[in-house]
Amino acid sequence: MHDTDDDSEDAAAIAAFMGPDEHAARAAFDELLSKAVGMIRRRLEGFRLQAADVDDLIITVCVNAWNNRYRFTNRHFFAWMRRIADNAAYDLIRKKRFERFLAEVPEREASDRSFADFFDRSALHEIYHQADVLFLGLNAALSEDEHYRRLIAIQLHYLDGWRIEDILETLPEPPLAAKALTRYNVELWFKDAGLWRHLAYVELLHTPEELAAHLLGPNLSHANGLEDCRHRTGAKSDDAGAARDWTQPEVDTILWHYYRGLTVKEFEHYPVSSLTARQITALFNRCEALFPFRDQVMMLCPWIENTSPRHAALSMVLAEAGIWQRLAFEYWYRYSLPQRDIHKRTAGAAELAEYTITQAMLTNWISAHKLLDRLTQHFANRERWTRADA
Amino acid sequence: MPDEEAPSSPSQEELDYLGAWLQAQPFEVEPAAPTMAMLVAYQNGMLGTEDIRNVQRGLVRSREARGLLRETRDALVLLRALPWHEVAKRASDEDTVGRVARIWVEMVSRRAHNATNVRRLWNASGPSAIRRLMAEGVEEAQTAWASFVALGDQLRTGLRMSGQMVSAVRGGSTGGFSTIIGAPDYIIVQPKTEIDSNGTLHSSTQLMDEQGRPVTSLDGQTVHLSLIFSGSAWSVASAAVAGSQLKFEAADVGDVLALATGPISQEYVRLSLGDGVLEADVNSRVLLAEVLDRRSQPTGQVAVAIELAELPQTEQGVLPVLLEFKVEYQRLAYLTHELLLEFGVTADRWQLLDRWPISELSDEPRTVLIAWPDAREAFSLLTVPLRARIRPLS
Repeated sequence: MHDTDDDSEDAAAIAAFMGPDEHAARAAFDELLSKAVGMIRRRLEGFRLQAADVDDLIITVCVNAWNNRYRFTNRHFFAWMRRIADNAAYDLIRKKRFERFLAEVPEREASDRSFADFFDRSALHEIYHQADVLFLGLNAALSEDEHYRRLIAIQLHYLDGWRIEDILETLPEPPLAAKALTRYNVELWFKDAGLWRHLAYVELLHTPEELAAHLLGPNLSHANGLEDCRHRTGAKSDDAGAARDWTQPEVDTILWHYYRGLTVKEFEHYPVSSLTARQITALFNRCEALFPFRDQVMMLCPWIENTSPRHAALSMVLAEAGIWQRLAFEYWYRYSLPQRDIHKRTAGAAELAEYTITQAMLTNWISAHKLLDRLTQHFANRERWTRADA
Repeated sequence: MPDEEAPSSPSQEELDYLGAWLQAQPFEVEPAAPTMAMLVAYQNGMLGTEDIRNVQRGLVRSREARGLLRETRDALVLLRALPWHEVAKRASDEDTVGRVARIWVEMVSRRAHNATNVRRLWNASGPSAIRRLMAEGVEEAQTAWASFVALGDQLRTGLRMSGQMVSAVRGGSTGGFSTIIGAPDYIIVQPKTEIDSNGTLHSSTQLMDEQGRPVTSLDGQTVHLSLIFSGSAWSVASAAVAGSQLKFEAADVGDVLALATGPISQEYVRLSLGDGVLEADVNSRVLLAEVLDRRSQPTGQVAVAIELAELPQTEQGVLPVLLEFKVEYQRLAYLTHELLLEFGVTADRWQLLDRWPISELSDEPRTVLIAWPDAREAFSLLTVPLRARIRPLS
């Protein structure tokens, strides 16, 4: 039975689990699992889930752990399993939110689901890629991979100081490219305002793990097995490593809120934090003071002003609605942040770029689904063009 | 609403439903930061679509990963320019170059191992299937593609060469007419082949007998058109005979092989009937070595033809090869230069195998020993992607 993170007595099994021999890894996994399953069950029961859900989740946790074996690198097996259990539980909480939504509305007409079916034909990443195309003004004819390739090129050149010649030598041609990339092509990319918006968006967006990494700083070492956060440290802003004086309950609470997205209200339902409601509120106020978004805009504004070509002036990059709408879309739909939290992450930063975001605007954009409405129209148009082309 | 129709405008209820549906989707796990091995493979065009997506997302989100990209790039630039036996030596070092070298040795060795059979794979699968497999990251398909692109280098150079050079390296028919491999000998053709401004290859011909009368006996049968250089043939298009007429079209061939718009000499075209496989029937191979300046840029001078003939292999991982200049005066013109022999790891990444000062090579065929990346079995270098180049000695 394992309630601590002491993996020392299982070092041999853990080494076998990480090793290249699949049979040995399987046997080691079974051995480790027999010790971990009690801990996983108690962890999941802490979420006040139904017994049947807990049983199902245990199987999910085991399957996820085995399938992600190649991602396990830090040797803290039991902490890693606990994280997988937490993530599986949180996925179920998200799913239950949706089920509650469905239960609250009357029996739906089949036609109400037509757009969901429509979306469902695309992979999730394609939906968000089309949101990039629509709100950031990217070239709709290019693939997601090609947009990312161009984004890497502009990052390497303008953020990391690479020469264009070196970029040409380093970035591979897409697998089926008919013509080789030239310096002229890359210089043309850099004149595209859409690419600059994409760059600014990527710099401004903080995924839950990036924000958690920023807030925790060196305290990441307290965050049991949080590999993803750990490798994000320093990826975004220079002060990510600044000293933070967090206690262990505060670290756990920060992770549940900023990394896993548990809302303030949900802390009452799921007893995952040992802090009182008042302590939690005070903690989040301290965290908000450490948010990196304004600093990021203060860094980006003069940099874009001085660096970008006139085709991608600051006014077209940060002072237009597109980039802020894209951020709001991401935070609301992908990460399910409350509107209030989205306002905190965008309004102050936008103001520095001379763009105003009010609560009423956000209500219109996200709560009233205006952005989603535009995206569905975009998908519908795209489908028509594709059919017309065919 | 019929499934085929795109919905026009969603109702508020639909939007509520969609929004809740999107929010209920499980978090997509951000891909792990790309490892050094992934970055080496990425830079060399060795990954399939899914892995490219993960590596690119990792690079975009992490400055640290881009720093590692820089380190691996610098090491790769160094390693690719070192003779293979030196790369193998560097792989025992513990610094960054050594770590990259270990990964690179493993990757190049696997490619070299696959290289022997890639032309057979190409001719059996066809360009479209190879493209699809490449996008999935299938190594054999990537190596086949690299070999095909290497053919383009040679064709391009060959098309610029004088008659004397062409006669030294010719692959297909020399005269005005040729036969179709696998068809009766009395049927002759004279294909007119060209690349149009869109990069598409067109070829057409009539099937005739020796008196010039149309032959219709192959009506409806499938004929393959291959591009051929120095005995190495690559199928690029297929067409059914219509009466006595044959017409081929292959999109993108001009772009992929970087061939200029215009005619392609019949020297480089071969037709075959049905499953007729075009295996090289030679034990030597001619390479046209491009001449480079001190900055490794092409000078545009006439390429130098060299011939490589295989000798019996006595030691694993070392290829004894008989090397000969096909045109004597060319060697004399480049005594202050060196000859480089490179292996095409992927379509646009080459690894130096070895280099020799030209002054040390004689007019007579000369045996050289080439360290070969794949030491696992006996090997033929006649079908693998190779290129030769000549540049001033530094």
